[in-house]
Amino acid sequence: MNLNILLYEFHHFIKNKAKLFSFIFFMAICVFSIYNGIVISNSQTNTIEDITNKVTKEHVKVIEWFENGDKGPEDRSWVNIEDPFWSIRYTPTYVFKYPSPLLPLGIGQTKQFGFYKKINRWSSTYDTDIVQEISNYERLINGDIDFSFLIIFLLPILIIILTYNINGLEIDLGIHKLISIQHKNVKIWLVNRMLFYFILVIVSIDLLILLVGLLNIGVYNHPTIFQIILISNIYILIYFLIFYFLNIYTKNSSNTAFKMISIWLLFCVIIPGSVHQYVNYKYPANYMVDFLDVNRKQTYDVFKLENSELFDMLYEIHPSISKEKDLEDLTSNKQNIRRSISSIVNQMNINAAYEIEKQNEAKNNLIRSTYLFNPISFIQNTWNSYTNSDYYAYKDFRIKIQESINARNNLMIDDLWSGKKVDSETYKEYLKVLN
Amino acid sequence: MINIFYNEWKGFLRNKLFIFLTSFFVFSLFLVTYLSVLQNKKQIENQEDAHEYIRSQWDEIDSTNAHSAAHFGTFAFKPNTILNSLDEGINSVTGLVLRLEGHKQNDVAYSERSQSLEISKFGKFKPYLIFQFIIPLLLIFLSFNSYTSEVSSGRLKLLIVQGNNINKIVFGKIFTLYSISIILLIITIIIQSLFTFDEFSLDEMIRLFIFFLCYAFYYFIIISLTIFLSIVFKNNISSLSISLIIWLLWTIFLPKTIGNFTENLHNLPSRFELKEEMTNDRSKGIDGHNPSDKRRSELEKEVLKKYNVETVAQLPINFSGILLQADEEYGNKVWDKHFGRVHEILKKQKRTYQISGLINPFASLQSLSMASCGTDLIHHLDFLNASESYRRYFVEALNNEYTFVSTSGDNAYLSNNEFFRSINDFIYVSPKFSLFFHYYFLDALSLTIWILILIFSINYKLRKIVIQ
Amino acid sequence: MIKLKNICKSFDEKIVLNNLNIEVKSGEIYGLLGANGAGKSTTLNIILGFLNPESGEVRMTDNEDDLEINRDKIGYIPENVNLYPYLTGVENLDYFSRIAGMKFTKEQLKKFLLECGLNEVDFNKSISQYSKGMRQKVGIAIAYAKNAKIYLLDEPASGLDPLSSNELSTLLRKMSDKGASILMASHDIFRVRETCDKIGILKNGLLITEIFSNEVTSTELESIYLKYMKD
Repeated sequence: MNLNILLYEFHHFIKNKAKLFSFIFFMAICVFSIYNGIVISNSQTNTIEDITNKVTKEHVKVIEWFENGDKGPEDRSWVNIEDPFWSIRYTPTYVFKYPSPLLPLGIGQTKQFGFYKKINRWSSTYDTDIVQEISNYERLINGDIDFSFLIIFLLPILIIILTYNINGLEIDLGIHKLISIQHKNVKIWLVNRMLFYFILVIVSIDLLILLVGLLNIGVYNHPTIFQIILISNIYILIYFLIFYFLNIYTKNSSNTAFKMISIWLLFCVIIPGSVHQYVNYKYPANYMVDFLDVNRKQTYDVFKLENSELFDMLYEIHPSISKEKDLEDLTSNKQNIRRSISSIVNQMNINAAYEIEKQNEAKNNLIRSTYLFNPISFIQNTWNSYTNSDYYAYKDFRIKIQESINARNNLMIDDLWSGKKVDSETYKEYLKVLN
Repeated sequence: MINIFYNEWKGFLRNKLFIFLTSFFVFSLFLVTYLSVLQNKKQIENQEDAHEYIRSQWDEIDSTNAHSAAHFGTFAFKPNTILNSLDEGINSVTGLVLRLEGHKQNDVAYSERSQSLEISKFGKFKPYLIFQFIIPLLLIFLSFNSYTSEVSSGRLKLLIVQGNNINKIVFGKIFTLYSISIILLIITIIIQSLFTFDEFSLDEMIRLFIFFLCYAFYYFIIISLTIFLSIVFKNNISSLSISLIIWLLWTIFLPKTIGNFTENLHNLPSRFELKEEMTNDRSKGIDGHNPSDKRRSELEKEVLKKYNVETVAQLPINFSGILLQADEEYGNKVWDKHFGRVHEILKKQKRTYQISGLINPFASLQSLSMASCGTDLIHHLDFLNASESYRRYFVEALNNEYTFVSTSGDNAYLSNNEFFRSINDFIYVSPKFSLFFHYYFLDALSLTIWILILIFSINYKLRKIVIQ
Repeated sequence: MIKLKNICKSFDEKIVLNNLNIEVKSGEIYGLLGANGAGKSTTLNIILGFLNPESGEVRMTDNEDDLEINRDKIGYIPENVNLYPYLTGVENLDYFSRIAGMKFTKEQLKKFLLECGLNEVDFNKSISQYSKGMRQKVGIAIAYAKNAKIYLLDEPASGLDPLSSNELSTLLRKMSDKGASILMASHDIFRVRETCDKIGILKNGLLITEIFSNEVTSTELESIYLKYMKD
């Protein structure tokens, strides 16, 4: 390292107003993007808090019914909360996808999905109430000012602005021969000049990431933040290496700028866009017909089944139901059977959702198989996984939802068929199990 | 000017890099347009299959209670337009499926982007991606030294001494560069037309023409701005840097920041807030399933009086059907109030964003490009409204059947298959562009203003130029 | 003819031309000698009409009332004749003639180039393969094809090898013999002495002296020039 060249580059940098302005501007947008991420995170947390408060109030109301000896709401005389069917129905449950503390560093696919889901016994993981928040779709396609977007897509452009005329300017001015006479090894001279910008960018970005870590979480408690630093630094290094080689063989600065921009376009726009197009051709957007079929037609068909057929289906899912005893008592258990249909439908939903997840997984496998020539998507999805905002973070959310639906149906089947009478203590147990 | 135009073209055609780039673009446009048409056709087929499948289920309904059928409901699948292959607009982020049923309005769900890992931030490699992001860059690189090279080489002086007017020289260059972009546009339009000609109506042709026009306007802006900057800065590197920074601001930075600003200016409610408000309003109406509801008894009195009978059992109609329809109509009012507000906010956001076209013509281009392909917010809202209108027709038909045909008790009469088949299918036809043009007038105006300002500025600057 | 009468010009209060009076008659070659910043290029730019003088007048005809700068009559040959590198010599001449409103056959174009000393084998080579001297010949051919009555040359001999320089002198003489008024601004004392009929020495915008080249040798001219410059 030649410290003189490195330090002198600082003069080049601050004397070039366009470069200095671009750098400061970029850093300002980075700070804004982090702020924007914090706003999104806070808004989700606030909504979750509002829902939790509302749900708690409803729980308190039901506990009051028990304490006052009421059977349910005044205007619904048919409700009896001592019956597990009704008490479970009056146990509102929500499943939340809590925002990661690292969300300000990358909102990923957050805006494509809902982050809370009200659970009832008929729920499924593909209900239409888990859709994204109400938003302006035209705004969604343009995207947010997101920190990960800035680093992955815009930082390369900042690097282009900072480095495109290193060596090229000397050629433009006709002083490149003088440089080689003065320094002898142009490559080392170039390395040192590039190194200055590399250090400048890396230090600034890492400091911002660490700042989010310090503000939002204890950095040392969250090793993921170091993974984000690592992946961003490797990514930046790769760009510097590519641009270094372009600068060595530059013809003039505008020619180099053109090549650099072309590389950016190729990796950030053209390749991901082509992969996107191909993936969509191979796996067109799913209209979820199989799922809709289960959710509607097949569910209606289940209602048409005879009680004995329903009982057999139910027994297969819940072997805990004593077959002999309950089957003998089929007539008196008629209501229980009808009330348990949701459990059968739930099983059908699980099977249908499994098929959808399988199709989506095939699509994801295809996307992953392109990572070798489509590194930007790899970086993007890895980054999103660190901030818990990728497809799989939301798949985990769906798994949590399914577990909650299962728990609700299982609890109801168990208590309904065992003829349990619910009191306030049992209800509190329900709250624990279902929330 | 024609000589300059001819000479510039000669120069381009003898430049190997230019020939390579142009061939690359022509080839890419051909391939991309063709593949996009194929992909779009496949998506349209899938949508039609889904639609037919769901309708066939409806057509096969056995005799059943009309109210159960309202709960059984149907689905609206968002169709793709033929021009979706040019610019898919918001289609990848909107939901594709909307459940239409009695009692409630659902959200359109299952967006394409929620079905996989993230791939491209800038969208699929369709013609719009080339037109919006790549060709402007090519034009900047072709334009930035077009004027300055004449100055630095001394040719400008020579050209003027030969009797040329500087305006003619500069505009000759602008029109030469412009002709390149127009050729690329025309090639795409021809390819698109060739592969989808059999499906073209007059409206599609008008839309295609608007698509062509908005990009033609935008490219003129890009070229003349770059040349204007090169006249102002008199230096290749400065004009290139500033042009690239402007490109970056227009295409990537400003759409995000202005989008953010419009969102903060016209706040949308959260889904939870909206649902709470709607539930609250809905609770003030008639609950069709709750016999002890007070408002229900008022309606009951009204109906008994109308039919001049004493009890519900004496009614010649099914009172439950009346109740359900009253509940439905109240629900529709609630939906109209709240979703009407949401749609109004969305339109306000769009309008504010459109105003930003005065500082960012890319915003106007994007808006017009999506609009011409029928893939923007306004067209999406139209689809949602049409779906909701159909839902109302559908539920009302079922409720009427339940009310007037079922004569004895709630569930006694089961409507037959013939009745269910008689309910019209939901066929959504994208509206004619002329009906929506007023939404995009601002975009067209912004692009025109930009062009006029640039022509004026270039003329003004050229008048002030001192050649030494 | 070119007649500059009492021309004054200043930039940012710095006087660049101070009451300049020059006359170049038809068939005469006038050399304007001077150091950098003496006002040579400004003089040419005023004749070309790119700069307006603060006072004084420029005439191109004998008519006292005709003060209009008529570019149709002017041929301009800059220091570096940077023609379009992707066009051939013939094509460049064709292009520049066309924009001057003239259209020639290929044979005519070749004839102009030939008369301006370009070898026939080079006619269809692209300009990027031309030497500076060759490009200058094309530059003069452009003016010649235009039938210019006035030739303005800015440092025409700079960077030319002796042979090309000599060819340039011969060519300019040929043009003046056909009645053209030629004004060349230069540093090159030897070339100016060889080429021009009359020489003016310009210092800080002032025309210090005018000398007929047949009255001095090159060495004498150099002594005079240096003397004025050192004063």
